[in-house]
Amino acid sequence: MPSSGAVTGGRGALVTAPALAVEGLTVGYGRAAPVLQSVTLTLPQGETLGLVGESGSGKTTLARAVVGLVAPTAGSIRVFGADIAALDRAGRALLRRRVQMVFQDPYTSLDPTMTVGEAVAEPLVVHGLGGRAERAAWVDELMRLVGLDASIAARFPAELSGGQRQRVAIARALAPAPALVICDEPVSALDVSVQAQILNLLKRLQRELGLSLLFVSHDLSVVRFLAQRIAVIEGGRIVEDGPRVAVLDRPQHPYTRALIEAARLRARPAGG
Amino acid sequence: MTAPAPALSVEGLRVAVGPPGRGRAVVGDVAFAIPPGGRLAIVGESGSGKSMTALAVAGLLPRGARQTAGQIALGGRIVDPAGPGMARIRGREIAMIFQDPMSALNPVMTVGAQLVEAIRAHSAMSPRAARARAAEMLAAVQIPRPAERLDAWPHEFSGGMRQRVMIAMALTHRPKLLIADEPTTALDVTTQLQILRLIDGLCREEGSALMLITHDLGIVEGFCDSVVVLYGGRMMEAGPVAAVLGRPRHPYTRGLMATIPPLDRDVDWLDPIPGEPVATPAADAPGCPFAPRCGLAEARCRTVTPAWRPAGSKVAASCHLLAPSPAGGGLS
Repeated sequence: MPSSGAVTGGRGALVTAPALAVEGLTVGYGRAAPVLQSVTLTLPQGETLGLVGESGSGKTTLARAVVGLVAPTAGSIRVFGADIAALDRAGRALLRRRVQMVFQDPYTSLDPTMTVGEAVAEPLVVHGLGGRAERAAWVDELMRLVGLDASIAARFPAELSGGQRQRVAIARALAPAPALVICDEPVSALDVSVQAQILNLLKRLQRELGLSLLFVSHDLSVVRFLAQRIAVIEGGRIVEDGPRVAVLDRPQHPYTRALIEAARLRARPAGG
Repeated sequence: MTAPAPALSVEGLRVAVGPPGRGRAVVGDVAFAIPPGGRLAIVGESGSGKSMTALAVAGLLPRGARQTAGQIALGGRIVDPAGPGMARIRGREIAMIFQDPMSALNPVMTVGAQLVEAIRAHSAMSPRAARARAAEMLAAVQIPRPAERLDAWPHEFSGGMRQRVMIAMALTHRPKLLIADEPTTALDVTTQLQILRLIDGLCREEGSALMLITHDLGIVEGFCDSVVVLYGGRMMEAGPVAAVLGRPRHPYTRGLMATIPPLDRDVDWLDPIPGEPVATPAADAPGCPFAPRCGLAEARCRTVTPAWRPAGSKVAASCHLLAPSPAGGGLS
């Protein structure tokens, strides 16, 4: 029997279950070639897995499948040991709480008519977590956690800079105390000097909160900074997968080598 | 022996937006020169004024923006980019490619018709000869089966292919200067490298000088020989790429280097620059535009605009701390 409790993760979960275990995942639409073909990936609890690929590689489809937004054609997705296809109603509700996403564009992922405080509190209201006073205290705490002044809670997204908006999006994702956070290109729309602030923040939060992070990116230097393991996806298939240093310093697949060469355009010049 | 006149020289360039008299400067006191065949990078974040500088040189400033001071010379000849003569110069002596090749191509004209139009705009070639030349140009930018592809529509091409078409169009008349404004930002990473190599190779073949606008220091290092670092519409530092990136003098250039994750080694934390770039700076305000984010800023940095001064061999920078201060110290 599928246990919804297993989705909880964090301290209560079995230490042996990975945060995310994807096996033989295939996603296709109609007769076209599948978007994902037999993808197998493991993200151990409390670690960061970097999923690297270009547009059309299937990386975003994979991220969406993990949160149940895309139905697999074949294969399985286990989150903290629980097969997400076999969850009961309560299990699915728990999954939606314990797995959160941060998107690329903080300009379109926040509702322009909600104040920052309302946006961060919304997941708590949706999941029925806490009373009004508790929610307000938790929003304050979340704002502090992502490095925002509490006074920003009263403002609207349009009044914020790109970096501030992405901090708000992260606070909102953290609100229901997720155990697994999926970040889909969360820094690629930001200026480089702001990108570093958000990357440091994600690394600190991952460590302090013991989060498991699936970090989707096209940029290998950014992935090197955050991830323990790296999986390279091309044309819906994982072409290389391994520990960070092995993949970057001894790449086996020609596509990984091409991505590394291309990443030099973005990376810190050798002089620095 | 005198050195040949620079392909482009810009002196004291100032660009303002808003109504005349009440406008705000977005580019102030920008000056640089590119020798014939040279490759200059203009680097900056949002609001640095890098695109406005490029557009001013090409005479393509958007409505509401205008050049209020400065002198621009092409091959030693002073030009007025906003003047009526510019239409003859643009496309022939200066060409420009942009970030988004889809919006730069006309969606209701075939690729071939657009190339033929670009060729015939500045030459008396017959339509038939222009079409043959267009096919040659597509071949030069490494588009397979070029003669067939002339009849394709822009939407049938990928982003990388469209940018190849734009490059072909820009280099039609062997311009002395190619301005490329973030030409690969909208493309996939592996395509970026191919497109940059193509621009680099063709500029070398044609002897065109290159002015490359980018926010990526890795691109500067790989494809340019000199660099201008802009912040808030003003020049922070400029010089040969190896000198500026190898030993950055200005606190902003240093900060920018430290903020980028390295690819070839592990670092536990990055050194971010606090705060965020200002989207609409006032490049004529007194003081250093970077002072609000600079960890080394002193009182004078906020009130007195630092002078542009030498900061090493062929390197110059604009920072009070580079000069020996009364309190001693300094950065260089």
